Amino acid sequence: MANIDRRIIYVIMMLAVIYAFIKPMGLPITVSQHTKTAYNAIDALPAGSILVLGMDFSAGGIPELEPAGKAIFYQCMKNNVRVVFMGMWVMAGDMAERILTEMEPLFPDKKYGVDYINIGYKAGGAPMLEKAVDDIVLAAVGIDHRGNALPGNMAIMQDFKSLKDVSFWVCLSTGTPGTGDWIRIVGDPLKIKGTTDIVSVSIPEQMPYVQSGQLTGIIQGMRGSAEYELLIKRPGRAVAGMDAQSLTHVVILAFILLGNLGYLVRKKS
Amino acid sequence: MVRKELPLAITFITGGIVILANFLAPAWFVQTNKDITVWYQIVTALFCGLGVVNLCRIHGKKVSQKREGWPFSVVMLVSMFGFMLIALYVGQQHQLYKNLYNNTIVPLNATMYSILVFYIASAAYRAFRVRSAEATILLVTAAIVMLGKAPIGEAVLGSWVASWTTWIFDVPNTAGMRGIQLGATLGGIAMALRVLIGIERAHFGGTGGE
Amino acid sequence: MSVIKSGMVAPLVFELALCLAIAVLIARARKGQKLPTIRKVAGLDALDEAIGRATEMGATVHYSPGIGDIANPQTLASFAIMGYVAKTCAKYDTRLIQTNRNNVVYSVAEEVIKQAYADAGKSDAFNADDVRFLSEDQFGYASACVGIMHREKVRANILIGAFWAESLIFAEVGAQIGSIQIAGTANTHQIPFFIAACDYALLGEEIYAASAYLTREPVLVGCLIAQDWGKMVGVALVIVGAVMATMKNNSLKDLLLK
Repeated sequence: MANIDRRIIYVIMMLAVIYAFIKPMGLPITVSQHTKTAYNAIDALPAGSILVLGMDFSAGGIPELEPAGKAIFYQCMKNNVRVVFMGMWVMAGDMAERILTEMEPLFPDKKYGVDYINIGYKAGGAPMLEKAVDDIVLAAVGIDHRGNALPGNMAIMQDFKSLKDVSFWVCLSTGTPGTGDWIRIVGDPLKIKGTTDIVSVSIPEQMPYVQSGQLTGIIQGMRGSAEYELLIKRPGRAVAGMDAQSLTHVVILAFILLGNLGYLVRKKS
Repeated sequence: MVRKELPLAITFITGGIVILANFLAPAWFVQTNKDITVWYQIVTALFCGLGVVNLCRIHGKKVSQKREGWPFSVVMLVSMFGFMLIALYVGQQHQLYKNLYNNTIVPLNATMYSILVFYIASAAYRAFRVRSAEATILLVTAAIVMLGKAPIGEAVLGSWVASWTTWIFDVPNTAGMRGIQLGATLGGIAMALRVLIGIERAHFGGTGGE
Repeated sequence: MSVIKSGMVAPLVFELALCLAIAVLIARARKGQKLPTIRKVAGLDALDEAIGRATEMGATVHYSPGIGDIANPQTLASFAIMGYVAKTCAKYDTRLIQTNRNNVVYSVAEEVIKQAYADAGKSDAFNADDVRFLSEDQFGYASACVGIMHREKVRANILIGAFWAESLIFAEVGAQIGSIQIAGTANTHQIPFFIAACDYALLGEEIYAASAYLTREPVLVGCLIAQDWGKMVGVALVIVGAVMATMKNNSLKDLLLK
C-alpha cells in the first residue's frame, strides 16, 4: 500500500474523470465571496465603459479560464459594456477568437470594432503593457488580430486610446507575463480596478493581492469559472467539469490515505 | 574591454533611466523610458527569429544525419513552417487556419496541462506521509482544502468545509505567502541593483561577480 | 509639478537606502573587513553531488532556467547557477543540455555556457546544439523538456528560475526517470511542488544568494547582507504598521503612501 505503482494511480484517476463526464452527479456549487466581488464590480460598470480582458494563457489553460472569459464577455455584452481582448502570450489572439466564435452568434446586434475588439498578441511582454498605458496603437504596432489597421475607423478605438481609458481589467492567466504585471503596470499606478482568473495551482500566490485590495475579488480556476457561469445563469463547461474535479479530489485523498496506512503498517512491523 | 564594459555601461544607463522613470516625474525621464520600452519591444520581436534559427539548426542536423528519432524532427519542421506559411498566406481568420489550430495545437496543449492531474495525484501519494506532527497538520490542511474546493466536500460534509478552506486561504496561506514574497521581492530588488551596477555579471558567463 | 511622482517618495527612499547599504557593505568588503558567514544552502551544496552522479553514470545533466523572461530577476539569478553547473560539467566532460522557453534568455544562456566552458579550458567541448530554444509556449516548452528528459538519459535535473504551472510536470517526470533533482524558485506557489517531488529545493530568495554562495566573493556577500538589512527594515515596518493599524493609527500608512 505504501508503494503503489504510479501507473495504477494514473489509470484510476483517468477512470474517475471519464465516469464523472458519463454520469454527471450534478452536485450543488456554492458561489464564493471572492467570485461574487469580481462579478459585482463588473456588473456595476456603466454602459459604454471599456473592460479589457488580458488573454495571458495558452491552450492548456482553456478548461479553467475560457469559461470565465466567455461568461465575462456575455455579462459585458448584456450590460452594454465594451470589451477589448489583448494579450502578452503568443496564443492570446486565438484564445480570444475561440470565445468570440461562440459568443458572436448570441449577440447579432453587437459589432466588431464598435462593441468589442481583438487586439491579439503583441510582442514585448510587460514592457508592451507599459507602452499600452501610453498608446495602445503604438503598443499594438497599428494592427489588430484580424488584420485591421488601428485605429482605422473603428468606433471603439475613438474612446480607447490607451489603457488609461479602461474602467476595469481582467487578466486570465496561467503564468508569466500575467496578473502581477497587470497589477504593477495598470492597477496600482493608474488606480484602475481589476481582477484575475488564474489556474488553481497559482491561486495561493494571488491571495495577498486580494486582501490588500489590489485585486477586486478573484476567480479561482475552474471552480471560480463554474461559479461565474452560475452567476450569469448560463451553466457551461466549467460547471460540467466540477463533478470530475470532485471525484478526482476524492481519489487523490483515498490514495493519500492508503499510502499512510501502508506507511504506518510498515513502521509498526 | 568592449565585450564587458560597453554592455555594462549600456545596462547602467538604460536600467537607471527605467528605474528612475518609476519615481521621477520630469518629462525627459518619462519620454526616454517610453522610447526604451519601444526598443525593448522591437528587440524582443527580433529575437523570435533567433529561436527559429536554433530549432532549424538542431532539427535540420538531426534529419540530415538521420539520427535516432529524425522523423519526429521532420514533423516538427513541417508543423512549424506549415503553420507559418498558412497563417501568412490565408490569414489567421481563415477556416483552414482555425481548423488546424483548434484541432491540433489546442488539444495537444490542453493534454499537456491536464497531465498535471496525474502528476499531482502521484506526487501527493508519495509526499503526504504522517512522519511528524508538522506533516500531519500539512496533511489534514490539504485534505480540508481539497474537499472544500470541490462541490462534493460541501455536499457530503456540510458548509464548514468551504468556510474552513476560505479561512485557510485567506489567513495562514496569505500570511505565509506575504513573508516569502517580501523576502523574494527584496532579493529581486537587490539582484537587479547588482546587475545594474555591474557587480553581478553572471549573464556574461562564469558564476558572476566582478 | 513635483519632481517625485505622487506615492513614490517612500519607495524611492527605501530603494536609495538599499543602494547605500550595498555601497557601505561593498566598501567594507573591499577593505577586507570581516563579513558575517552565509548559512549552508543544501540545494546549492548538492549541485556537485548531482553533476557527479550524472558523470559516474555517463548520463546527461538537464538545466532549465524556468519560463520567466530576461527582465525577471529569477532568470538573472539562474544564470549564476547555470554558469557554475556548466563549468563543473565542462570540467568532468559531462554532457549538459540547457533548455529555454524565451528567445532572449536562450541567446544569453548560450553565451553564459560558452563562457563557462572557456573558463574551464574546454572551449572545444562546448556544443551549441545542447543549448536549445524549445517553444515560446508554456506547455509546448514543458512537453519538449519532458521528451528530452526521457530520450537523453537525464540523471541530474536542475530547475532554477521562475516556474509556474509546468513545475510539477518537470519535477515529476524527473522523479519517474530516477534523476537527482535540485529545484528552486521564488514563485511561492510552486515551491510546494518542488518540495514534494525533488531531492533538494531552494526556497524563495535562496536562489538570489547563489552567486555569493558559489563564489564567496566578498563584494557579492556584502550585497547579500545588505539585502538582509532591507528585510529587517521590512519586517520592522510590517510589525509597527500592524500594531498602529490595530490601534487605528494610519500615520505610518499615510507616510508610506506619500
